Amino acid sequence: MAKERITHSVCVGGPLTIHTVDGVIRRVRPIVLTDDDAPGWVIKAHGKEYTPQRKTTLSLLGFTEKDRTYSYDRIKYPMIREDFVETPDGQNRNTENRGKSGYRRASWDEALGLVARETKRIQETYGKEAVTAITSSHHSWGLCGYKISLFKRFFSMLGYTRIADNPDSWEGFHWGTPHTYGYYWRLGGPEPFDMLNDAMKNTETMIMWSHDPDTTRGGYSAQETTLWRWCLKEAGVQFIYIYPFNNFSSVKQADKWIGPRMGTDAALCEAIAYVWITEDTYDKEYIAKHGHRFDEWRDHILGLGPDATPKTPKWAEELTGVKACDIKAIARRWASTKTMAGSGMRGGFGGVCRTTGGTDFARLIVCLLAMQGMGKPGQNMWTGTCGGPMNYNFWFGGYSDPLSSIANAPIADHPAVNEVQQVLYRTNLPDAVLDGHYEWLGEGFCGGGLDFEFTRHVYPMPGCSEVHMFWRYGGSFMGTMLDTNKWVKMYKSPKLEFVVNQDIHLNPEGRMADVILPACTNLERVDIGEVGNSGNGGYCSHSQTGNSWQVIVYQDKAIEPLWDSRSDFWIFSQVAARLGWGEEFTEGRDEEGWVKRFYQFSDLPKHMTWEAFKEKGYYIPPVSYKEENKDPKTGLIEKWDEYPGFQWFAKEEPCNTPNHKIFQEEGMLGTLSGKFEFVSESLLYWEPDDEIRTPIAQYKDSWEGHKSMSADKFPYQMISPHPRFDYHTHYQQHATWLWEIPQNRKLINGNPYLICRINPVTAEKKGIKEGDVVKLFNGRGAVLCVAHVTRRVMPETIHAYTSSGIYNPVKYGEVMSVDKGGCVNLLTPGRLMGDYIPAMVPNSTNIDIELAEADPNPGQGFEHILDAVDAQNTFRVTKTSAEADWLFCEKEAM
Amino acid sequence: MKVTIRTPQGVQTLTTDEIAARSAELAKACPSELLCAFRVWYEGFEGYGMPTRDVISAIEQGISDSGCWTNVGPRRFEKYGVVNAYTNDNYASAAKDKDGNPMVLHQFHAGAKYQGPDGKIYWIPVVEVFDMRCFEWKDGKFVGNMVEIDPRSDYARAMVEVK
Amino acid sequence: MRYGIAINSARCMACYACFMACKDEHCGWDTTVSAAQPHMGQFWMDIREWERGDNERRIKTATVPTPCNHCTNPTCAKGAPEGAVYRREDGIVIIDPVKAKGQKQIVENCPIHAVYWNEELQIPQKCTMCAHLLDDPDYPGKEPRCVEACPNQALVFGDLDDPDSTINKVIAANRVTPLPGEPGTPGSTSVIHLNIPSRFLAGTVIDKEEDDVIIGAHVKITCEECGTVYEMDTNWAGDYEFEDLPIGKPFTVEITAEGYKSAVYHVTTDVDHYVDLTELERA
Repeated sequence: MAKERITHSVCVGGPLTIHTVDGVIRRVRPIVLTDDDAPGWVIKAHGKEYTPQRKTTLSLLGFTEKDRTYSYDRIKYPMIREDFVETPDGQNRNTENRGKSGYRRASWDEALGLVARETKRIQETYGKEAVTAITSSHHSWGLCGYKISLFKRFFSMLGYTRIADNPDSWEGFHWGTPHTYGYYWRLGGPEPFDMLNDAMKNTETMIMWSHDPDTTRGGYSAQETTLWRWCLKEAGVQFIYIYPFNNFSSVKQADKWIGPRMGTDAALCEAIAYVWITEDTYDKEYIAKHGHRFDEWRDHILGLGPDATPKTPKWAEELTGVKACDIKAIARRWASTKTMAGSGMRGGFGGVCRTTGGTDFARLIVCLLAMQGMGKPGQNMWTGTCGGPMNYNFWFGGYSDPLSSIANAPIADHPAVNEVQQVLYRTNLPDAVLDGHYEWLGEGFCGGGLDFEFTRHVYPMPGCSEVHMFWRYGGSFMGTMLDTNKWVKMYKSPKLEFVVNQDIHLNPEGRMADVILPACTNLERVDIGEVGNSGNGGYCSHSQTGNSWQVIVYQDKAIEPLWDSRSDFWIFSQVAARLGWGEEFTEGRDEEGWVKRFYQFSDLPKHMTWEAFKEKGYYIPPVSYKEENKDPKTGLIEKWDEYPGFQWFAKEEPCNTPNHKIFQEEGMLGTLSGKFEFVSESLLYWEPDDEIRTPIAQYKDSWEGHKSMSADKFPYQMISPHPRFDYHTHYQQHATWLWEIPQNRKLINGNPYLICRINPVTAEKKGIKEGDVVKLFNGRGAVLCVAHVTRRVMPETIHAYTSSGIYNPVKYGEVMSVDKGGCVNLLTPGRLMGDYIPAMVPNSTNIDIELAEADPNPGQGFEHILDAVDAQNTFRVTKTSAEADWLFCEKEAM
Repeated sequence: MKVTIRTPQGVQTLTTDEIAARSAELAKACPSELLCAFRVWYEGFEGYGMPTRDVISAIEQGISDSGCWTNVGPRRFEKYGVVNAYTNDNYASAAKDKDGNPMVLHQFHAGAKYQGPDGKIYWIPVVEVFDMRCFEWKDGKFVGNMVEIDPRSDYARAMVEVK
Repeated sequence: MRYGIAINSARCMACYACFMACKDEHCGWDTTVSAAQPHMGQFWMDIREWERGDNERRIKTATVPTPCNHCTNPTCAKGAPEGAVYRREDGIVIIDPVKAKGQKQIVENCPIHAVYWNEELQIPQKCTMCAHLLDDPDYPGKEPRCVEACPNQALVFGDLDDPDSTINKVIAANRVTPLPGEPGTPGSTSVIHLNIPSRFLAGTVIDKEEDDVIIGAHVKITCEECGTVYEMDTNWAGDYEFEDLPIGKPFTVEITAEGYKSAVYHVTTDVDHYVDLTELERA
């Protein structure tokens, strides 16, 4: 038996144990703990003891990491668009053919030389701000070689127009709940700290509002919390799921599922409040102490406000489609039992927050939680992901931690500072480029303050040039942004004189570039990272509490970069060198050298030497280091330093949870009054004219919903939640095993059509049968899918997952072509939530559906660009080590 | 001059002097380092709606009269943006919790530098109630690994901010 | 010693981790006991699912991860040449990738359709219970890939001949539910399926006038043919649900609540059935 080498890494699906044989990856597995790894925590509840299994989990995506590494659509060598011409003035470069043209192979020397020359020319001609760039989340993992670190260092040092991300996963919460309870530094989401322990011991009801935890998995917490929710259910907790789709969690676990029309959830909230107020079943004492201007909101609910409409369950039934008797039953269950409620993974996410009513719903669910005494034992804003026991005294950075970036001190000796002030905004990048002008409010991610939501931006900034060069790094916004036919149009614009795409796989946006640079996966380079850790000082701190174990991984290089790909660090270093600041960029360190600094500037050295850490490959800090906290019989840790989220507030004590603000120490929330605001003072202060974010949150008809004008022509509401069988576009196109999952895609003639879900009533009306090819369409585009007829969606709803990593226009390279890749974001509105709220609302999309034919052209349409593949057979059998030599072409000497 | 305000106590008509007097009391009791009229209005008065200019002037009069706050001109507040601000002359003996312990974020500014009694200077980027994470600062740069300091320790209590 | 896997459908959340782990292990890689699984088209760990319920108000899914059963007397071996299909001492059934060449009937003879045909190599292929890993003293894992991958303890691996093993404890604590086509007798397979659901009857009871759910309404279902009676009260949502009922039987459903006129239904368990949103009238 050939000797196997074992290394480790991390991906969005969890931590990986990687077995390699003779330089070829043999398998990927979860990490199975050894006896010398930390003892687990134990939660004692309901007469039982609960402790994690001595292994980590991996989501289905994690198990495809080997397949994804060797996939058919890896970019094998640098490529340059066939009809690209390096004209001295940047004009006449056949940009209208981007997306259609083929590519020719180039050497690294040629490709990097071109990139450096064009960067220089554009910055010298127009100014530094004429270069813009953006990455996705998370096609790779690791603190060094990845987005807020490496990418930030390079482009800040270069000087470029930064593209601010919109808080896509958080929208309604990010722009809404700070005006009800603060937490703008958590992007509107709650503190989940130690909520698992609280829930196991105290909670009787869980309300999963717009939440599919087994699908969204707490973000990057593998499949950890499935077992947590199983144990809660076994202990007798009732699970109520509220979602237009009876989703993969609710269909297995719900004691009650109700399916409101998408985006009408604010009405449900108001009706629940009506029941509590009229039946006197809310915590009046708590509201008297901690509520601001409750009486005015209460009047509004009772119909004593300006609209004179009592928000009765019957009124809500009309709007939502949910029966009044069910609404009342849920309201009474919530009021009479210790209830945890929240939206989406980690409590402040969920599909509803990406509808026009997103801020209303988010603010109202917080109001409801306040009415029942949020922060009392067993009652909190928590949805069963996040909040596991954690050793808060063990410090290791996450990817958004300012301290854990090679762009900042202390990791870098010389921090990278972007001298360009001009900014663009991601959602409307195409509009800005095509129109040459764009205006918006806010900093994108406004964790820095309430005031950050209202800063004014104009593009181009006075005195600045428009952008003329676009460097796109990893992933595909075709499947995640808005009205994405505009992106195709944008790429074809001659205003973008030069487009670079740097990625691992040939994604849809890659096929619209001038130069394509092949990056390698994190299995082919060295790095360091913690599972599920997005940052302790960055946004959404302590997301790693979504795991049963904290796992810090030495992400060793399992194999050499495949074909002619290179690490992103190498690519950026090369360009930096050609631009004359290579030394400053690398500070004389190679990747391993940078990785070691992350190790040094953490608590790891206290527990493991660098050699030991590299040898073992990972470290698991126990949830407490104190011996006296262990159960003497089992050795499990039964006590740890707990800082339960929000309980300090209910107890009227100074805040003691991690990552809090000074005013929380004084017992205040992050609102102007320091209390729960039922009439929002901050909105009156900052934007009293906002028609969407009104001082009192309330149900409003959507500008694209069942009552709007477009519903006459396009009568169905499409919901496109975060996908089950992918993570943000990063697996679907590459890991073809996913195409064999019937609930995901159906392979017809070499193309994997996305499954969309329709109710039997819709099917009957439109003459559609199970498995038929259908077209989803509206005025913005059309997408071919395969219909799954199910009672898990209500008649007026059509479900098709977002984040399609596959965009396959049947008319290759044409704007407004019908797509057969399942890229339903083509159908979503480009209009933002409101004039003062730059939020995307893809779940407020009206469409129609009709029977269609599969595309007669075989395959996906882009295989001709991948010359290593037989066009008739779009997948390749992974070879064994004996035949592995053909996987590698000759590496160039640099 | 008379002004009409709304608070949880209802609609009230007060003179600006009365507002100033109340503001002075509230300002004296405020444990924070930085104050502005809006804080007094929203947190102290629990005021409803945006305060008028007259109300703001009256409150600022009260803050000045309190004798413990110094006007430092426009400063940025995360909640209000850049507004006219006052610093607390008594901040050194600032906020204590019910056990009499100084509250950690009041004692230490995250991201600032502090000098310990042994002369070492530390940059403290992370401040939590259970620990602080620091890097020693020497000759214009960081030296050594991450250091953990207990904010409740005698050493921590003796640290002084340096600019 | 007899290696076995217990598969508990009640705990399966259809996460597809086992499906993927199996693909990762076998696609494109020969092992000591098998030829490489082709990249697509075979499902040595097949996830068999169906939707349950005929009314939006109550829908569930059943998910049954289905590998080869590793039968004690493998039906697939019928008519195959000597050694093409063989059962090891530890109970694992292997199809020899050389001796089984051309033996397409091995695929057809499997009563649960767990054997797949490899057109390129002209051999039948199936789950090996990762025997190559279990045999390898250097391999750090101790279980088949699917079991290791399962996050919710829906798959349990162990020694079926050891009365104190975890797998036997799990089997004893749950309902054994053989797949259709299986022999079904104890000891006839090394893969034991647990808690595969049969049929449910569910419904909701409300007060018609008040438009409120009725909590504590009494629901009695009777199957005269089977001689069984089940009873329960409606919960906080006014809902009732009887699970794991015999398939295709007639039931009488009687709903009573104090102060209300009762309601009676005659239904069958041909399908998982939502009886009604019963609106009771005041007596």
